[in-house]
Amino acid sequence: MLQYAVLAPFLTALIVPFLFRYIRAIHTGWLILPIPFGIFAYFLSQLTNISEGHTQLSGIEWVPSLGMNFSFYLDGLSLLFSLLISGIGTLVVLYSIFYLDKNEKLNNFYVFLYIFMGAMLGVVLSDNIYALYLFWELTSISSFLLIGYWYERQASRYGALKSMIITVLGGLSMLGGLILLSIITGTTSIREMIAASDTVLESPYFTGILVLILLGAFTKSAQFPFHIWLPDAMEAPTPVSAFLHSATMVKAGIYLTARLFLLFGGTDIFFVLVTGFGLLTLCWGSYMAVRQTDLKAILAFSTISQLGMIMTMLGFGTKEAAFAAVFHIFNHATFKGSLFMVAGIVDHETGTRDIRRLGGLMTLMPISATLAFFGAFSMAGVPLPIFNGFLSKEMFFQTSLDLETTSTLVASIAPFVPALAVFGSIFTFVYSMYFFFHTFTGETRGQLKVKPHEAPIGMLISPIVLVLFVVIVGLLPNMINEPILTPATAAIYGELPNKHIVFWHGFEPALYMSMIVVALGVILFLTRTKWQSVYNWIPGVLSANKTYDYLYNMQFRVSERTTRTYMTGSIRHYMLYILIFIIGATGVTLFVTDGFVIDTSDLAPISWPEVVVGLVMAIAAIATILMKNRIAAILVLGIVGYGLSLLFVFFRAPDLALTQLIVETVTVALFLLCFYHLPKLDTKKQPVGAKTLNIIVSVSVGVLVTLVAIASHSSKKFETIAHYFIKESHHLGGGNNVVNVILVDMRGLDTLFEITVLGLAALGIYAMIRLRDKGEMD
Amino acid sequence: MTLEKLLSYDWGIMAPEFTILIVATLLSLMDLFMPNKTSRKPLALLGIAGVIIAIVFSVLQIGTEPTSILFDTYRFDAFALAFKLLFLVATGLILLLAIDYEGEREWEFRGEFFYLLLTALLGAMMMASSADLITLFVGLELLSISSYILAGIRKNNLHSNEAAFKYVVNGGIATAITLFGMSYIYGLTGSTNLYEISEALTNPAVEQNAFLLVMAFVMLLVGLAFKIAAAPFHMWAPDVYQGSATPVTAFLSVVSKSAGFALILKMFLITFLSVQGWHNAIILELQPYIAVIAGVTMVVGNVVALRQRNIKRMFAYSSIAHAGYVLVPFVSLSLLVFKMTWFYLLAYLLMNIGAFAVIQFVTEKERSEDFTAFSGLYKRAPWVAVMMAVFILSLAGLPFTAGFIGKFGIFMSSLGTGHYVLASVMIATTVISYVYYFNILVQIFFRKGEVDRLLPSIGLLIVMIICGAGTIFFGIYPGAAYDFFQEFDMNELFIK
Repeated sequence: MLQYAVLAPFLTALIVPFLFRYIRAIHTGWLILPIPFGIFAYFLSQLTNISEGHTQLSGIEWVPSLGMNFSFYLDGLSLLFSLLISGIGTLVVLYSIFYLDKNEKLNNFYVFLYIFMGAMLGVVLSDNIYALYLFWELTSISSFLLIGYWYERQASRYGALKSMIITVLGGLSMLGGLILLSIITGTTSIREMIAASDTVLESPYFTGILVLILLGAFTKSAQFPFHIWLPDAMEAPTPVSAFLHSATMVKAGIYLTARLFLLFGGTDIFFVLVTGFGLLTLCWGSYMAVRQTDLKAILAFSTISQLGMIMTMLGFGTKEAAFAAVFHIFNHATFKGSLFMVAGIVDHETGTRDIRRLGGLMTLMPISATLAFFGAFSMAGVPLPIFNGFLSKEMFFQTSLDLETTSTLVASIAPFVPALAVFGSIFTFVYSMYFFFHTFTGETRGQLKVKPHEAPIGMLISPIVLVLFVVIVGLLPNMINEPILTPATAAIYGELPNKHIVFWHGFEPALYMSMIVVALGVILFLTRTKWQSVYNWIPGVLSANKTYDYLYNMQFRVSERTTRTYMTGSIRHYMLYILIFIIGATGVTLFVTDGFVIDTSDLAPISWPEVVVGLVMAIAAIATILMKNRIAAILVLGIVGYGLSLLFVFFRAPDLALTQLIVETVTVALFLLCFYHLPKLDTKKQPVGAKTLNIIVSVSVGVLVTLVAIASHSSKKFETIAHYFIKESHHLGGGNNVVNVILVDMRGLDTLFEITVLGLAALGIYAMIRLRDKGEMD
Repeated sequence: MTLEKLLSYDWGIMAPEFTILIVATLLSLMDLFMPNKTSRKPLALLGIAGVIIAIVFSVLQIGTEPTSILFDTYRFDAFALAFKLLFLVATGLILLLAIDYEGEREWEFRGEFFYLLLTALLGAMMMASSADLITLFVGLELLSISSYILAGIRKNNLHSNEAAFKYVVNGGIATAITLFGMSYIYGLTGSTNLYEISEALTNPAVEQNAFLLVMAFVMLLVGLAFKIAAAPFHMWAPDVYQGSATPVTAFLSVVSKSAGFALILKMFLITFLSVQGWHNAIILELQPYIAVIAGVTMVVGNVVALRQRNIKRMFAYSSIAHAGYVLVPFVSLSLLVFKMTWFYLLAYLLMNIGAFAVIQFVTEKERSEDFTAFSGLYKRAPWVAVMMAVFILSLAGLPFTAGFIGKFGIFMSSLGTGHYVLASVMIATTVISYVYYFNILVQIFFRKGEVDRLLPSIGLLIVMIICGAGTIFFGIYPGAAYDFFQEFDMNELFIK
C-alpha cells in the first residue's frame, strides 16, 4: 500500500499537463486537490496501528543484484513526516489555487509540486538507502525547478541553481556515506543497518561516514554554513516556500539525522557536530533574521534558526530531547506554514513584502492579522497556553539543562549550551515581533500600488487550519502526544518516552530562561532603532555567500584560464604537454623504482678518433638548431649523418657505413628539394619564456631517453640473438655477409614489403604533385 | 602455413568481422561503378544491413567456447564478443545518422563516408578480438587511419581540414609512443602474444627490472590515453570533434573511445595482472598512474566544458570527462570492473549517440553550432526537446536514466575499494557538469527562439527513439542489461 501512496503524486504529475490543456475552465489545482488529501486520509487511518507499535513494510524490487529496491517502511517517525507532507501539501495546493492565476504556467507548477510531494514521501518512507538517495535528489531537483518557476527573473535562476548545487553536493556525499555504511554492514536496508549498529560503531570509518552523512543532512536542512541557499530560495512562489522551504524539504536533513540516530547517537562526535552546528545555526539564523526587511527573508532566516534548534535537540542525545525535537518539528510546521501563507497574502494584496513600506494592515486585513498574531507569537515562544511554540521551546530549554553525560568532552561543553540557547531565542523573539508589528500595526509607511483589502476566503482557509492547530495543540498538547509524538520518538530513540506535556511546571530554570528571553526580547524590540547600526555592522560581509559566489565564479575563471593557456589549439603546445607528461611519468618511475642501472662491463674501449668524431657530431647537432637558414641547417645536419658512417667504419662495419652514407646523401638531397618549395624560415623572435621552456623540455626528453637507453642496455635479460645469425647465416643463407643474409634472405619478405610500401608512397606523392601542377588542388 | 592448416581453423568465429569486411568491400566497389551523380545514400542502407547481419551472427555466438585461430593471434571469447556487440550497435545507429547528414554541396555523392565507417568498425572489432600485439596494433591503426580520413572528409571545410591535420599529427605521435612501449614489452619477454607475455613477465628476471616494464606500461598508457581522449592527451578531441561531420564526431566519441577502453582492459589485465612489481602486484603499483589520469581527465573535461559555446566542442569536453569516469573502475579494479565498464559504455553509447542525433538535427536546421541554436527548441520540436532532456539528464547522471546507474556503479566500486579521493573528485566534477548540462536545458526549455516547427527526418527520429527508450529503460530496469551481461563469462579472457 505504501508504494501506491508514493506513486500517486508521480502519476498525478504525469496527467497534469493534459488536465491543464484540456480543462481550462477549472483551475487545475481543484482537479488534483483530492490526491494529497486522500494520501493524508490514508496515513491518518494508520495512526492507531502505529501507536499500538505495529509497523508496516512493503515494496517492490528494482535492481536486486545491486541491492536497490523500493522498500517502504512506516513507523512513528515516517508517519509523522508523511502526515506533515500530505497534510500541509493539501493545504498548500488549496492555497495555491487562489495564489496563482489561472493564466500562469500551472502545468509546470503542479507537475513540479507533485513530483516533489512524491519524492518527499519517498524520502521519509524508504527503507533502502539507494531509494532514499534517489528520492532525496529528486526533492533537490524539483525544488530547483520550483524556485526557478519564474525563470525570467535573474534572482530566481540564481537561487535555483544555488540551492541545487549545494543540496546535490550534500546529497552525493550522503550517498558516499551510505554506500560505506552498506559495505560495512553488508545490507542496504536502514533497519538492518541499525540492527548491526555495533559493527558500525567499531568501524574505523565511523567518523568519516558520520561526516559524509551529516554533510547531506546539513546542506538539506540549511545548517550553517550551508544555509545560504535558503534565503535565495525565497524567489519561489510563496506556496512553494511554505511547503518545501519551511515545512517539509528542509526537514529532510532532520529526518535523516533522526532516522540514523540509533546508529550514531550518543557518541561524542555526534554530539559535538550536531549540537555544535545546530546551536551555531540557531544563533546565526535568528540574528540574521533581525536584519532582514523582506517578510519572506525574515521567515527564511527564521526557518534556518528553527532547524538549527531541532538539530541541536537531536544532538543532545537524550530521550527527552528527542521527544522535544519531534514536538517542535510538528509545531514549526504549523506556525511557520501559516506565517508563510500570511506573508503570501500580504504580498498578494499589497504588492510588496518590504516591512519598511508596510504597516497598519490590521484594520484592512483583520483575519490575516489575527493569523499572523498567533503564528508570530507562537514562534516567539510567548508563555501563554494558546501557543504550541512555547511548549516545545520550553522543553528545549529544559533539555539543554539536563544534558546527562559520562563523557568529559560533552560535560565541558554542556554548561554553555543553555546560554547559547537563550541567546538565539532572544533574537527569535525580536524578529517575530518585527514580523507582526511592522506589518500590521502603526501607520502605512510607503506608498502601496494597490489599496489592500482582505484576501479571498479560499486563501485564508489553509492558514486558518494551521493556526487552529497552533492553538489547539497549545491548549491540549497531549491530544497529539500519544498518537503522533510518542511513536515518532520511539522510532528515533528506540524506547518509548513516557512524557506528559504540561504548560505549567512551576518556577523552574526553564521558565526563568523563557522569562529572560521575553524580557530582553521586549527591550531589544522597543529600542530597535538604536540597535540598527549594530545589526548593520556585524557581520559586514556575508562570508558564506561570498565564498559560494567566489567558488562558483572561480570554476568559470579556471575554465577560461585553462582554455587560454592549455587548450590553445596550437599543436606545438599540445606536443609540449604530451612530452612534459611523459618526462614526468618516466622520471617519477625511474625515481620510485630506483630503476636506473649502468653496467660498463661489456663496453669496448674508446679511442681518440671516436671521441673526436662524436664531439663533432654533437656540435653539429646543436648548430643545426641555431642556424637561421634552412639550407645551411640541413647541410650541417648532414655532418651528423656522415659522422655516424665514419663511426661505423671505426667499428669495422664498412657495409653499414656505405649504406648510411647513401641514405644520408639521399636524405640531404631530398630535404634540399623540399625546402626549395617551402616558404622562408620564420625568423620571428619567440618570447624568452617560451624558448626556455622549449629548451628545458627538449633537454629533459633527451636526458631521460638516454637514461632509459642506458638502463635497458645494462639489464640484458636474454641471450643475444646475434650468435644465432652468425652461426646460421652461412649454413641457411649461403652468404658470408651476415647483414646481407638477414636483409635479403631471412627477412626477405619484410624487405620486399618495405620496398613496396615506399614505392606506393612515392606514387602517391607523385600523383599529388601532378594534381598540383594541373591546379586541381585548392 | 599449409592450406590444410589454414582450412582447419574455425573461421566461423570471425563471421561478424567477415560480414563487415565483405560489406565494406562491396560498398567500395559499388561506389566505384556508380555514376558520379547518383546519390550514395542507398549504400548506407546496405551498410546498416551488414551491421545487422553481423549483430545476428554475434548474438548467435553467445555461449561459444573461447577459440583462437591464426597461431593464437586472433581470439574469440566472451570479452571480445561483449565489446563487439557494443561497437556494432553503435555503428549501426551512427550509419542511420550518416544517411541524413547534409554536408556541403555534392555531399550526397560521397560513398567513402559510409564504408570508411565500416573499416573503422572492423579495426575496433579487431582490437577487441586480438590476442597479439601485432594484430592489436593493426586493428588500432585500421581504426585510426579510417578515422583520420573521416575527420577530414569535408574537404572544403576549413575546420574539417584542421581537424584531420591535428588528428593525424597527434595520432601519429601517440601511435609512435605506443609502438615504442610495445617494443619494450617485446624486448622484455621475447613474444608478441599477450598470453605468452603474461607468462614471460612472471620470470624473476623481469621482476628485478620492474622499471623497464613500468616504462613500457607508461608508454602504452600514453598511446591508449590518446585514443580514449583522456587528459593530458585529449587536446586533439575538441578540434577534431568540432571539425568533423556530426556522425563522425559521434563515431569518434563512442566507438573509437569504447574500442580504446576494450584495448586498455584487455592489454593491461591479461599481461600485467599476475606480474609481481617491486613491492606488490605490479597492477597495484601502476594504479596511481591511471588514477592521476582519471582524476585529471574528469577535472579538465568538466571544467573546460563550462565555457564552451560551440555545442560540439562542449560535447567533446563532456566526452573527455566521461573517459575519466570510465577509467575509475579500472583504477579500483574490483571484480566488477568488466561489468561496470561495459554497462557504462552501453549507457554512454545510448545517451551520447542520442545527443549527437539531436545536435545534428538542430545544427543543420539552424546552420549554427552555437549552443544558443537550441533556444526555444521545446516550442519548435517538443518531443525532440524532451529526448534531448533525457540524454542530458543521463549524461549528467541523474536518477532513472542509464547514465545514473552507470555512474552509480562506478562510484560504488571506487568507494568499495577505498579510492576516496577519486570518489570525491567524481562527485565534485559531477556537480560542476550540472552547470553546463543544465545550461543547454535552460536554452531548450526556458529561452525564446524561432517559432517555426521543426521535424526530424526518419533516420534521426529512429536513432533518437532507440537511444531515448534505451536510456530510460536501462535507467529504470538496469537488471535487463546486467542479466544479459551475465551471459558473458569474463573469466574466459584469462584462460589461455
